Amino acid sequence: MIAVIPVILFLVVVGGLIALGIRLWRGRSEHKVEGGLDLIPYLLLALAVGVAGFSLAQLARASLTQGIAGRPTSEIAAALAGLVVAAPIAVLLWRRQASRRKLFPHTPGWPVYLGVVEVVFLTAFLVAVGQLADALASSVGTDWPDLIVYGGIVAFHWWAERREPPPGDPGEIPRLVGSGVSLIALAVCTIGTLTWLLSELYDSLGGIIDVPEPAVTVALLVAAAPIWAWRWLPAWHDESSTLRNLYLSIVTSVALTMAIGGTVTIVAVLLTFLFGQAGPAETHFDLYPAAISIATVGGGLWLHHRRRLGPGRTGALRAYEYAMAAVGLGTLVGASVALINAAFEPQLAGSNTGEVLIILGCSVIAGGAVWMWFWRKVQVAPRQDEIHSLQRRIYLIGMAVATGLTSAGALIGSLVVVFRALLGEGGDMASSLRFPLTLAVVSGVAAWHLFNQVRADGAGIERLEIKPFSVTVVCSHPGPLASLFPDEAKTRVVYRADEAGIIDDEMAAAIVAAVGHSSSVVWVDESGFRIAPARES
Amino acid sequence: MANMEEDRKLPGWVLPSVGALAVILLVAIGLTKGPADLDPETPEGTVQLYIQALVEGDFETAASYWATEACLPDSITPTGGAPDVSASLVSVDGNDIQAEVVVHLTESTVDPMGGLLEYEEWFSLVYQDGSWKIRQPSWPYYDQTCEERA
Repeated sequence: MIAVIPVILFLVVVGGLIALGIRLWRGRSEHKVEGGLDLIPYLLLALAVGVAGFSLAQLARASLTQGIAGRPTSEIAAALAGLVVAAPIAVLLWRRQASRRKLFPHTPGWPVYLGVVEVVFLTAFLVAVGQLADALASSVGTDWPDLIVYGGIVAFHWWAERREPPPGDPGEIPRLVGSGVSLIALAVCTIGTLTWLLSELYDSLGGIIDVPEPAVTVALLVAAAPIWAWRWLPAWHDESSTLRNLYLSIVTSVALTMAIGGTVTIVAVLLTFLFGQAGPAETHFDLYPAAISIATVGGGLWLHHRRRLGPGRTGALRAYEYAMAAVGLGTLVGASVALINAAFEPQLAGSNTGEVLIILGCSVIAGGAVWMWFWRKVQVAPRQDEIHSLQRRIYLIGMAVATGLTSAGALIGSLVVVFRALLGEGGDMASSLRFPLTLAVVSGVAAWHLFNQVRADGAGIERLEIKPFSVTVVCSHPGPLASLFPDEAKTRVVYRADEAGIIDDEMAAAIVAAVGHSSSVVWVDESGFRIAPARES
Repeated sequence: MANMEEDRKLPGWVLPSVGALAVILLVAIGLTKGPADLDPETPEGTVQLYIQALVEGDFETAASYWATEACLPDSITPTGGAPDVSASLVSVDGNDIQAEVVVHLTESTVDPMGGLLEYEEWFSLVYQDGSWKIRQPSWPYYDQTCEERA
């Protein structure tokens, strides 16, 4: 079951990236960027800055931290070699790109470069914070040079971004990357800090638990919180953007998955205790500090990000709902297979472990409930927009292919067992068949449902698109109008006696767009055109 | 306005020069500084003396830090000779009887394109006859025929 979630997240991310690629590709011809994408020089610059930055950190580490034996000549030599090669390239490329930005301010290379630097060096900075806290807590050594170098590089690029803000939707990349990196650190460290506090509480109440060391998590929490606030909370220049929608939908669905996962663990542990399937109470609830922390942090993140998905059925909201439906369905399939196998697995001694069955049962119920809740929500959304949405297609086709391939693979595994038995080899066939056969059946049912839905959507699109309609146009000359309407349109032209209503190419396109697929009467005169709905013929 | 901004801007050579100076300063500090001054009566101080002796090729002194209870190597000379490393302290953990010292070692490879080999080594120490001794020296590599581990 746990292995299914990364696959689903992977599908969601890949799907999102494909959607983004398609969106950018479609928009390419509409807004041709002057100066090209300018990506290669910026990626070379990022590479040079990366090598120079890490070499500088290595040099600072070798020179400023106190070793206990040997001279750090090898480190200094390696760092100098990296700096001598990378630093001049970085300086030259930086200046070249600064000049190009003045000529072509809208190239997307600049925000992509800032995003790459942010993800690499902000991560390195946060790791350095953790290492410094660990060193301070153990009173041995101080790894502060990394902190200064990586922090300096991050701050320098923030300053550069503020000085020359990257324009447009791609301009949000650095902020989104910074928000994402710091949010991951913030979430992990808040969970760590809460787990430590709750473990102390559990310990003081008489429970038996390993209390984790808080130094690293508290330090990272203190460092990550202001960075996240600085990158995420200030107002954004637009109401919404494709990249922000993608970010919001990923974060919101991961947050809700965390909250539900933590809650399911809490309930399952309580049920195993109530049904007498647990050990002593002092040790049985030792999962609670971590589970409560994960549920609390997930819930908090969900509350914050969910309301930013926007009013109405935005792309971000749609992506979030389909992602959650995918998580629910994946969990339902995985946990059902595991539960069936656990329930029928013969034991060498004693009975089946009740704890495992209860946990898997809770997972099946939670996965099923999540899938049903979100699947119903997307099914009651307005049909025409929904069927055409990219998020729905990614969900349906992605999940159908994943479950279909899983089912086919499991079926092959089952047939191997059967053929081996038929050829007189193999031992207990029932035992060997149990897992592949269950997996083939359960994921096969899911694939069948999804493929059916793909087919139903296709039929729905056809129904929506083939409905005939009629258009009556009153004009002096129809121009190219009749050829622009779809085949389903029946066009009738009533000619005016004057020359005041001639339809040119531009007006023809505007009339076709305004009419849509509804029966209409179009009146063209010297002031333009007017449209009135007509009774369906 | 644009001219004022141009006036306020630093000349282009200033930042690279400051960076180059900082690098030269760092190299000078790195090459002139000595090792940390650790108390030889402590576990970390013992490990420091042990590594220093190995780096200097003084294998007899290094072997004098081995605990007698352990399964000892056949020879006091490491298989690869004197290691060419620099070491820094990562952590010290333990009590009055035994301790564990973790050290970060950086070793240059023979191949110039091979870069640096960085790893951490765990030294297990025991308090024996009034001083700290290293048990079962796992670093550097020694030829060893006895299999029993204390």
